[in-house]
Amino acid sequence: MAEANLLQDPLRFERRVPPCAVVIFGANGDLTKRKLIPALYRLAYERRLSPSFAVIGNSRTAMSDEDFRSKMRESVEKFLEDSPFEEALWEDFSKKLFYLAGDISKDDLYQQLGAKLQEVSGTFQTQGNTLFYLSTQPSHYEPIVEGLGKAGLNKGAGWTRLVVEKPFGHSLSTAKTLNDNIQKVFPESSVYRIDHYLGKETVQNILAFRFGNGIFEPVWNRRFIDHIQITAAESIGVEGRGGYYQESGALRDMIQNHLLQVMSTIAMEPPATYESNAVRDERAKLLRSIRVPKPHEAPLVAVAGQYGPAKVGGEDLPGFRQEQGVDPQSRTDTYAAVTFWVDNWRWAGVPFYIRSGKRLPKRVSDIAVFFKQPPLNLFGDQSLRPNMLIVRIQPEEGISLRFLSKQPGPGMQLRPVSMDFNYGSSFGMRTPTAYETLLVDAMIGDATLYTRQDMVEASWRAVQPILDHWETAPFDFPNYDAGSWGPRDSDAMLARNGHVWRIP
Amino acid sequence: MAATPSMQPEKILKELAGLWGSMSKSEGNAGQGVNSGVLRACAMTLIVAAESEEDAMSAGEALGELMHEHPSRAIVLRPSTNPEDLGARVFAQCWMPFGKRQQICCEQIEITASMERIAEAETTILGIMAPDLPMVLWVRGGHWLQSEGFARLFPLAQKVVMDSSKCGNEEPFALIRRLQPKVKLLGDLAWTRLTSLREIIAHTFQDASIVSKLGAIDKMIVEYTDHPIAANYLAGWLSGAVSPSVQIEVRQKQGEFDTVQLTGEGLDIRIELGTTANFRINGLEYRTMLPVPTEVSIMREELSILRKDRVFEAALAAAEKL
Repeated sequence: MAEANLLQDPLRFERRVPPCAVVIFGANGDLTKRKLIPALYRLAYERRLSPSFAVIGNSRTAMSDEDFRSKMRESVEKFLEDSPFEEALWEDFSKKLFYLAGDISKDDLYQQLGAKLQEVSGTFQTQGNTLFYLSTQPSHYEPIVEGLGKAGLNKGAGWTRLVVEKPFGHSLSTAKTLNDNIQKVFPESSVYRIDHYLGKETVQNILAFRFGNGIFEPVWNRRFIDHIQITAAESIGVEGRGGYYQESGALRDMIQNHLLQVMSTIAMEPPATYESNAVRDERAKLLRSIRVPKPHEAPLVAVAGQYGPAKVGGEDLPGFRQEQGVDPQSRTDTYAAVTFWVDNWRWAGVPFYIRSGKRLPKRVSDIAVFFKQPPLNLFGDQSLRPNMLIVRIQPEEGISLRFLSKQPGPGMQLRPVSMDFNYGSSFGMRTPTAYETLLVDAMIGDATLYTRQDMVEASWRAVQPILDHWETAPFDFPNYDAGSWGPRDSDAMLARNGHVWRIP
Repeated sequence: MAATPSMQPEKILKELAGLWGSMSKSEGNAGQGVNSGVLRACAMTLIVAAESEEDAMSAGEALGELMHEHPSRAIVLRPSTNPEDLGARVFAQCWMPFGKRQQICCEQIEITASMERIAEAETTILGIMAPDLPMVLWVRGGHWLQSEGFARLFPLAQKVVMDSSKCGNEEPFALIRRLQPKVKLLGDLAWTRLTSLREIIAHTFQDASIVSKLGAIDKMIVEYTDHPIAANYLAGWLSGAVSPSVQIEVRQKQGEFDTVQLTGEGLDIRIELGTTANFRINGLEYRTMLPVPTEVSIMREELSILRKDRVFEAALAAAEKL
């Protein structure tokens, strides 16, 4: 066992990553350019990377180290958020960027990679610690893992970890196959499935809010909560990703992973400790408690939508089927809304409504917890609106509580008011991006904010009957206008339970 | 002596309420849309005991920056040489976060008091502290620490932050010993200033080949050119990671850089501290930029820690014995 460093001061020191090399497969892709390298640069800016650190990028494109560095520099300059670009720092950082062109289906790539890792370990003292990051298209995951295993790169002098981007499979069965194949090479404890929603400050703040305060937990159950709505709306369309998007759709792209993880965070039981497995056990338990709809129930608990053309703000917007790269007969859901029921003692009978869509009126992600009405209306015929707690995830992170207040003046007129906590203004400091948080966690070996195999499979299980039903369901697409809040069937789904979608 | 009318807590609070009322009205009139207006934020009461009129101005600038991360009801105590002086005024500090549509404002109260009348300010402060939130008292020098009246503020504070390297003629550790029984939590900016350096040392020593040998160190020498208190803290902190029998020497030296030397079987470390930290470990040399701590950066750090700081307490206890 490694000796403890008695000089550490967790109260004051930033968490820093140990010596390691990061190998990025798909280094010429969008994610690497937009998120990964800018996040690593930012960590270097904050002096959180070890001096013994290096990055090896791989893709098929032939490129020298210098070409790669130059491309990454452009990306950092373009996509770095809230941070200055410093020439001297880049000089130092870029010396640690290397590139290895090669075909992931060929064994010799992994031989070369092994040699490169040896070289880098010798030059930068990375102590044999390696983080493999799969930032490729999902069909490449299994060949890469197999290649790493065959070349023996899954084991080394130090630790070896594998970060896998979503989607983790395309269905329950493919997710299981992917997990099985990964685990032939990497043990589950070394696999980090990234869901960047879990890296967002506000999502982490849900845990602080729920389990750091005593006043919410007593009312956080079926006796006081009427229902919960989770919304992730985007105002943009598919923005050139039509080809990719029509293979996934809103249910697969957002609800199966990000939003079910958010739901598990808002609804899980308190963990015994704030440690990786304790937190993930509770998330997994919640996901396993989600009632799996029977095939005949699928049309009652889920609504698919696809946007049609519309004029928004004087601008003509194309429908999904008119977007570039999209099949004109596409049956892809650009909107999905699902009612989930959680069969446990805390939540029995409380519906969780989750919706996500493209080309909705605005970009907003939030969670609205609707409390039950007071048992008696003392105020005549004035309708009492339920208390509501809103956890805002984006664009403005924060928490609001809506309650009724007496309107100033004579008489007893009530009106709803909102008490707002704004995360950004209460703490004026810069918050790290989700990728900064998650990359540091993976390098440190903290998997709390990563999803585990059982969580992935439980969330697939919850949506699979809906996906199966949608395979053959007769859709009348397009069924909502761009710029609207989605199809009417979605309103009808809530109306069946006496509820109404709120307008965020 | 009764407080002058302007020192009545109710009157100050009324002025504050009036200030917020007028600000929201003027913002509402000038607003560009429904989201305009001011947002009031407050996470604590921060009392700043300034050394002089000039120091009060410089404290005001620091407060402006601190408010971004630690929005507070700030109370600046401005010393006056006129024994009769005791008065207060209120105003707001606002800023517009980048890319946001709302101004964020924090309230500030300035109390001018002579040493003779500071005790009277205690009741005013008691009445104007932001309710239900912690109070932090930032003592910027030795001026107020000589006053018994000022000491009456200590029990109100969750934490008292001072700078033992700027506290006049009193021996720093004697001052800390004098204050410790009177305060709930004590922060010393002379210690906070060392965080970046300590972090770099801890990180460098994280290397398995070094951390396993720290127990073999039998001699430690810390040489300082300027502040003995920082050198003592550093030695005290380092002593926690080495054998209790290590021979420790803290001494003044001529020259430009402070140095730390740690020697023992299989380990020879020399750290030279300037704008960079230059490490020589068993003949191998490393160099790391050493960020210059600013008053705001170290105060920001102290305000983030409103609980027991065991590492500081251990380093202080060890440093006192040196």
